[in-house]
Amino acid sequence: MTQTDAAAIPEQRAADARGPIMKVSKLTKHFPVRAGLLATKQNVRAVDGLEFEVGRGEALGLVGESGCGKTTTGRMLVRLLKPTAGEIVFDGKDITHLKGGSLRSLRQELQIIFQDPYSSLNPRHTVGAIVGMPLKVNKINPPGGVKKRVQELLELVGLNPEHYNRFPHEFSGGQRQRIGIARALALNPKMIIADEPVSALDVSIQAQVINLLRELQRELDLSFVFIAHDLSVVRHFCDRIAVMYLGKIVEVGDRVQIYEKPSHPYTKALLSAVPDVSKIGDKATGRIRLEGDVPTPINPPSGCRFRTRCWKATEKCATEEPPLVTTSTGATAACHYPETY
Amino acid sequence: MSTVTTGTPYLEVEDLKVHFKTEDGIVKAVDGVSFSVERGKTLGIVGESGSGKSVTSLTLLGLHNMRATTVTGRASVGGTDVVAAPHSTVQKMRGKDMAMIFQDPLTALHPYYSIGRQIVEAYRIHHKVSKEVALKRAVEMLDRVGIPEPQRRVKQYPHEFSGGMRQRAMIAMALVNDPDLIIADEPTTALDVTVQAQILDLLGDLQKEFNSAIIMITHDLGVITQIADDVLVMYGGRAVEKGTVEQVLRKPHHPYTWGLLNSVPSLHGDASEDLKPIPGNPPSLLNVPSGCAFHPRCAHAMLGGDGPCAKIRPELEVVQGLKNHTVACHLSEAVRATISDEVIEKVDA
Ligand SMILES: Nc1ncnc2c1ncn2[C@@H]1O[C@H](COP(=O)(O)OP(=O)(O)OP(=O)(O)O)[C@@H](O)[C@H]1O
Ligand SMILES: Nc1ncnc2c1ncn2[C@@H]1O[C@H](COP(=O)(O)OP(=O)(O)OP(=O)(O)O)[C@@H](O)[C@H]1O
Ligand code: SF4
Ligand code: SF4
Ligand SMILES: [Mg+2]
Ligand SMILES: [Mg+2]
Repeated sequence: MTQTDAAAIPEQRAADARGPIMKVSKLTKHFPVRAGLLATKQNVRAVDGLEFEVGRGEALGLVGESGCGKTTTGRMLVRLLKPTAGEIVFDGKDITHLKGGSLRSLRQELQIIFQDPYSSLNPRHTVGAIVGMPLKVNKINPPGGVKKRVQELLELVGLNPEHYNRFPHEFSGGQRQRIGIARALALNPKMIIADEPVSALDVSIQAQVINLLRELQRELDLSFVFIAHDLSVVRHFCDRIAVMYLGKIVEVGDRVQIYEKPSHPYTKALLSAVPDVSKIGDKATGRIRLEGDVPTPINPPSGCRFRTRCWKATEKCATEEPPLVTTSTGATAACHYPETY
Repeated sequence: MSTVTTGTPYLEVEDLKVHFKTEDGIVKAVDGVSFSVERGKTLGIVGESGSGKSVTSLTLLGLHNMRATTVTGRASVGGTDVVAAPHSTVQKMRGKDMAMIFQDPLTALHPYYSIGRQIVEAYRIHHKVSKEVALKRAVEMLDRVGIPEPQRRVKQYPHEFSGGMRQRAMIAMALVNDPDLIIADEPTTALDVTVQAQILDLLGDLQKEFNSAIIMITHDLGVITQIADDVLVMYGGRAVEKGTVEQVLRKPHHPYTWGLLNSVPSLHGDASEDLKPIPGNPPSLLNVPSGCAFHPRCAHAMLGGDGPCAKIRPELEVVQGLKNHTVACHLSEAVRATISDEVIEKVDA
């Protein structure tokens, strides 16, 4: 394990000649479905041409409305789902079409943590067997043996190594999520895709897990794509945030750009909907109520996909798709009339 | 829309205990909890994972395997004590007198039946109507919970929905009979904020329209702030603090409530600081810590010498003469008031 001085990371990251850990271009996933009276084949355009990069040691947040394609994206990034089109370059290698053995070795470097700490662990296996499984599957015999390595991992995520022989049901939700994290770390990955890793946890345990992920990020120089719908959690964990709407990225920016000065109207609406503990009584004041439904990804609106719910939409928004461009805040956003500050 | 205030709450729970017999011993999942909810009001229940929130609500619906479960106390739903009533009575009340929105949509939705069929069946239990009429109702409900293209979606199966859409479909199913008491167990945990806001609005609208009583179980204190009138904070199967939202979240008096408020990541402030979780893990309900169940994790515990925290179990007592704000903690009121102010100052920062 590489122990990096936390303070040195940003500089190293900027100057890293190896380039970004992940670069995604035109990433697309269409699910064929039958729909309508004539049961004609149509496509759910779940993810439609994503472009983004993740720097080494960086945590990129992926947020957006339910059904906008976050999970589909996450599953493509680790190649649990085959992209319909586009390219995923991981650590300099094109992994879009990997198969068989090379796909298996990719799993060593690129791991996924799932949302649900309850159903993602086999109830009949001991914690030792669960965390050691990736080593067994990949026939890796670490120095000192599998058991020693597993115990190190348990310790790393703040679990008692003596709990090696216990079963998942003997652990709390937060502890189970730690077991899932230990398993993801077993093969020393360079990058982790975390799909709603703390949504099922209560606030206190959630805080424990976030602190743990931050510590691992600092100590192991891990990179993350962090999918979550809780915007305050994302703000806490992620350096940069990509906002998705209906299969597309509408804005990418750093913490300040996204949270203090959102450029895209959708980002602004999303932020205004976060309930704030410090604001009792003024229920939902300042909240932008999005009119209408989320359009269907089978037949998304022409031009800007957000236009059916956007209060700023004009004729142009229906005819021209806005490209992702740099805005006045320095973020990139896909909007003809971005917010100005 | 007349708001009928009959004086007696629609739901009254008194000294409810739910104990499970397990191989390892007796799990005291709920151990003497009392609360009430009037029609038109919303009670928020917060508390750590495993503190007995879901067990409390499942008990109201009579959803436990009674052979392994001992339930005592009283829980009156619209005048019927569901603890004492025969199982068949409670079963008939489900859906209309009370309905539950579950934490996990996959446990409530059957994978082999279309979403529409499941809502239709739920509707027809309480309404003698044709399938066509019930299907119209199903589409209308899907529309109300914000599912796009309900006409098409109604024919789909759960696996064809995204996580958030499944959650909304289940909410539609639970609400199809306009229940008098809605128990929502983490209904928006899987949802993003805009849909969450929509669902909270929907619950609020239904409440206004049907004057229903709502229990909202959640770990999101922001959600509580937005929709609840009163809050019950649970720890280790018991209530540790109870009061109006204003009292509990703006003038909290229990160290566990402080811990919860401190753990919440904020939308403002310094994001580079680590969060401040409550140290340690939730207590084992097989072997609840002596005295105050929170004492092994409490930064303010008085343990040495005459310290009562590990010896005497604190009971709920009124705070500063405000009869509806109660707290179970041995700390003196003055000490609690001072710390409370400090905690809130940080939350607001
Ligand atoms: N196997 C599938 N077949 C057909 N459509 C699918 C399939 N999987 C996902 N979809 C659709 O693709 C879209 C994106 O789904 P996805 O699960 O990626 O959303 P998400 O952003 O993760 O949402 P949530 O926040 O609710 O988890 C949705 O419209 C969903 O219904
Ligand atoms: N059928 C059962 N048999 C034995 N123990 C049970 C049973 N059902 C629940 N429990 C235990 O009762 C306790 C309370 O569980 P409950 O589901 O009410 O927690 P909760 O407060 O809803 O937590 P969460 O926030 O994680 O949903 C837990 O320790 C749980 O393990
Ligand atoms: S491009 Fe037009 S419709 Fe789209 S977000 Fe911008 S203003 Fe709104
Ligand atoms: S009774 Fe003691 S241990 Fe319990 S919360 Fe109060 S101070 Fe802490
Ligand atoms: Mg998802
Ligand atoms: Mg629960």
